[in-house]
Amino acid sequence: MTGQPLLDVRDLAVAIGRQADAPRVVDGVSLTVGRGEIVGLVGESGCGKSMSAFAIAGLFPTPAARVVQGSVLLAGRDLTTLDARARRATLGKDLGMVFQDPSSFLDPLMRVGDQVAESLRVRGQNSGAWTRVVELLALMELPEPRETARRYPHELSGGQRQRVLIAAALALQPSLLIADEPTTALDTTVQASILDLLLKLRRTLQLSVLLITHDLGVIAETCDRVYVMYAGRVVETNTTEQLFRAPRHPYTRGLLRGTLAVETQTADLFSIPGTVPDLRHMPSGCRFHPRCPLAIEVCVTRDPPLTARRDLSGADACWRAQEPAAAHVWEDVTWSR
Amino acid sequence: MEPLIEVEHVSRLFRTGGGWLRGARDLRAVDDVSLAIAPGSTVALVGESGSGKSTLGRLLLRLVPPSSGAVRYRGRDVASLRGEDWRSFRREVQVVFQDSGAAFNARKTIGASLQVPLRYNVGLRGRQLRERAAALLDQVGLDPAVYLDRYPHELSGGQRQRVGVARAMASEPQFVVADEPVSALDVSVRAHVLQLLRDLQRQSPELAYLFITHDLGVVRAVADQVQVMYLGAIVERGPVAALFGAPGHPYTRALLAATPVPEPGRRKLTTALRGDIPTATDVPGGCRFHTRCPLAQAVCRETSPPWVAFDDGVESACHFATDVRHLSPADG
Repeated sequence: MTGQPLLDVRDLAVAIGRQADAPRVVDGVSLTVGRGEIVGLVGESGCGKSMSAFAIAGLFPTPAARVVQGSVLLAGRDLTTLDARARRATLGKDLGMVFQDPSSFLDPLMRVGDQVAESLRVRGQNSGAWTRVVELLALMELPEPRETARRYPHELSGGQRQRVLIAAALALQPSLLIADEPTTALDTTVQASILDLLLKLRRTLQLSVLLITHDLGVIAETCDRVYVMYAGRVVETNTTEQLFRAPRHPYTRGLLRGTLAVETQTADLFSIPGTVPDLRHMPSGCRFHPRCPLAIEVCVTRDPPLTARRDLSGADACWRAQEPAAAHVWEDVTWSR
Repeated sequence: MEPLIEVEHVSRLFRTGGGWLRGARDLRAVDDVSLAIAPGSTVALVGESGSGKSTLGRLLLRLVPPSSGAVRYRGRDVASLRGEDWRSFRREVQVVFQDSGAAFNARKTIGASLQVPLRYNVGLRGRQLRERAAALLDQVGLDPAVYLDRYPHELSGGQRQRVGVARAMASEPQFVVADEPVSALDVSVRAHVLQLLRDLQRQSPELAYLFITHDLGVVRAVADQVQVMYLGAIVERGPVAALFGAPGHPYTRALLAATPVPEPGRRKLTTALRGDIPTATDVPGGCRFHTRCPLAQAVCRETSPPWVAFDDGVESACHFATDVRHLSPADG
């Protein structure tokens, strides 16, 4: 990555509710996505990864959620300072977004081609819209794009519907695509072809992608860099290769150990004991300390900042990640309740 | 070993359409399937959505009757079970669904829901009911003092799935159909539920599972045997390690190639499969997979492939199974 990143999120916080002490689902997240880069955001349900994405796009699923701190710089412009109208104008033009369940984002009574064309028409691009739609569907590798454009959502498979939504998200040629679990509801065969498509779009269009997923296998196969989130914070970030080869945070190590591989039979099925903390009762100090076998006093009292380490790429937010003990953190932990 | 449950040439058709303009057509969800499950074994049934794997599971549970063929439990046709025999079948054969939350009565506490099978299937009464319900929750790793009086909506997805397992286990089953039991769960919670199912089998060594899933990582973690289903038919079967190590059917190869590997740089994604699974109203002639197969030849369009059996227990329904098994995983 050279020069200024396309997306530069700094110290972002999202709260649910209006009161001053409203619980923060996202709390001080910083991340960047370079041009033509695919960046993964991974974590368990409830860790704030989707909320981060909604905050970046300025699209909240609930009116109670709001950005309370930080900035979202897209190509140097801070999106958080824009008014609602200017904000809407950036959607689609500067960034596109796709979600987990393609069916719920398509109107069942409208031809899919018209739905893709809609994003062009609301920007006044009426002439040639249909030709452009057919081109887009072809770019998404949909079979018989001319005929497909005339079909209704129920006539398409789940994978084809997701391709239609990616076409709609990219209709105005945004430079950034935010994909929130785009393949989680799909068969693995279809998932593989959608991920292939994202890799191709990155190559041919220099598209940047922020890919949100809970599946480390998906990350390994598509992303250049990764951010690992836990309880509203980024706890580790690195290149994909380094993160998998030399994970540092106990949470990342636990997630990796719990991933099922098809090639080897895992004798013990591992999962990190305990559960993600409740938003309203965040643990003191390091938010992971109640589940961490390495936790010592400092972990309970002081919150570890995301820190770059000498001679290592990436960064981690752990007081003990540099100690030799960290490498063996989960060794003696077997499955527990 | 005498199989616990056996499927013999079972087919199931569903009539679709039948609208005003279009005539009714038959959808062949399950097409001449045979398989046997031994006591104490775990058989995985894999395939894409629309392959008919859930319908096969429902046939085994007698939730839908077969259009032809028979399902035998301990040697007896389940369609003929009546009275006491039918009651004991319903006690011994249980199911865990993908979303157990939706399978619970929202207006009953977890404890009350667990007491239903205990009362009617096991015959417990009075204080025993609550005590046994508590013991079941404890067994699946949920504190009875907390969860007995909770309602389904108060539980997380992983907790509901564990309660779903507890309810299946309440009847002390011999055979459990688990239909995508962990697909809706986070990776970290998934391991809990899978380990729980494994532990329960260790405690009752006769217990057999049919594990319906599209996740081959899950298959690797729990199953001994795997059956691969495509468009209503079994196309390959065998011991998990042998079959995943060297699949003989191009469809199994494609499924394996599509499974993400959590090792960066290990493998580039390859989309070996063309298009989507056809609908079961238009099953292609010859080999049903030929329309999507990267290796299809003229013979595949004309003749339905015979079963080819290998020494390591793998059986494949492909004209070129021997060649396919010798391909390395990297070959297109």
